Amino acid sequence: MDIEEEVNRLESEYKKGFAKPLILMMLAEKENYSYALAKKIIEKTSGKISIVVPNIYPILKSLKKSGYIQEMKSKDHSSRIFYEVTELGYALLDELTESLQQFLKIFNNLIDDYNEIKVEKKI
Amino acid sequence: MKKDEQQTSELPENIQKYLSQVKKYIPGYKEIKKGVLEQFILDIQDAIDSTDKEIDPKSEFGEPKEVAANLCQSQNWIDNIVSLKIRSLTFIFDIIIIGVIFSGLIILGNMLINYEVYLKPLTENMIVFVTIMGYLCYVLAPTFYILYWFILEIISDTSPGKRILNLYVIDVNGAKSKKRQIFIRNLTKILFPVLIFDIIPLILEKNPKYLRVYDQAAKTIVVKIK
Repeated sequence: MDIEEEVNRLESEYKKGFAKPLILMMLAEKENYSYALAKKIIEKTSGKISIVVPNIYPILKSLKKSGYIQEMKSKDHSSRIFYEVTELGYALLDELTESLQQFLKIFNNLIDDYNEIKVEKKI
Repeated sequence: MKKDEQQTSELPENIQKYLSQVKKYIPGYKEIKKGVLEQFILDIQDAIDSTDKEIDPKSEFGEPKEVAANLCQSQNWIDNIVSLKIRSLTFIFDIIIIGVIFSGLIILGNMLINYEVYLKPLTENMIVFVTIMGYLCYVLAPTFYILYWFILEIISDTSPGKRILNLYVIDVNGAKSKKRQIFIRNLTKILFPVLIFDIIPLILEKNPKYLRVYDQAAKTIVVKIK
């Protein structure tokens, strides 16, 4: 398999795992709806992460079912469904961000270690 | 007219075509599909408004089949799995419908074959025709019984009995079930002995969300769609 292809595959695998926290973080900033969320994710991640709109629907449903977000009426009285983070959602985000920070710290250390090994072994 | 009230017909032709492809993979009747697509159409409208160029829906939103699967998963259908008791009730409705038509065909076949009892003296050609039609009714009766389950569920994801209670057969993931899945789950209608595996849990039913043996094999569920 081509290395670039493999990297893309691995990237898409781990990005999937970040989809829920990402959407929750976007909603914590401001209540929003599916299409605007998709656009905001692209904007906030400088295009590094993108989730196509239809993939957002099941995530929103799952977050709503778990009680982390709730539906709210559109301010312009349209049938557009907006979502906002609930208290439970904020509690989850608090725990989650802490966990993510630890995870990223560990990975940063591992990456540093790898870079040092690379220099030592002259790879 | 409000933006969200904009009709699908006002969308560009390529989008309409795309939406009709998506619809094909959504189970249920027109109103159900309309409800499932409501937010998606608003999102498409936003995407159109955000650019001056013509959007390519497949690259923007994905393949129609995947889009439909995601849209279906975002509904609450999977949470509405119907108990075996309710399904048995709809089965009885279906059996009554089948029974009426099946017996009708058998009676008609019998009348045509015994034409001399029911019909006036016929010409030689008419006798052959009536006899063939009579035997054809005998063949049509069991064919109807088998096709009733397979064809109706393939076309409409439901049977008339299920339709009364708004029950639909869908894939375990929430999407529209495939022809192969409908075929597998309905094999039990032909291979009667297997029904025993469904009747025992029905009597013992401790788990209301128990799936029929053939539903497990076909990876389908029967849900109530409002």
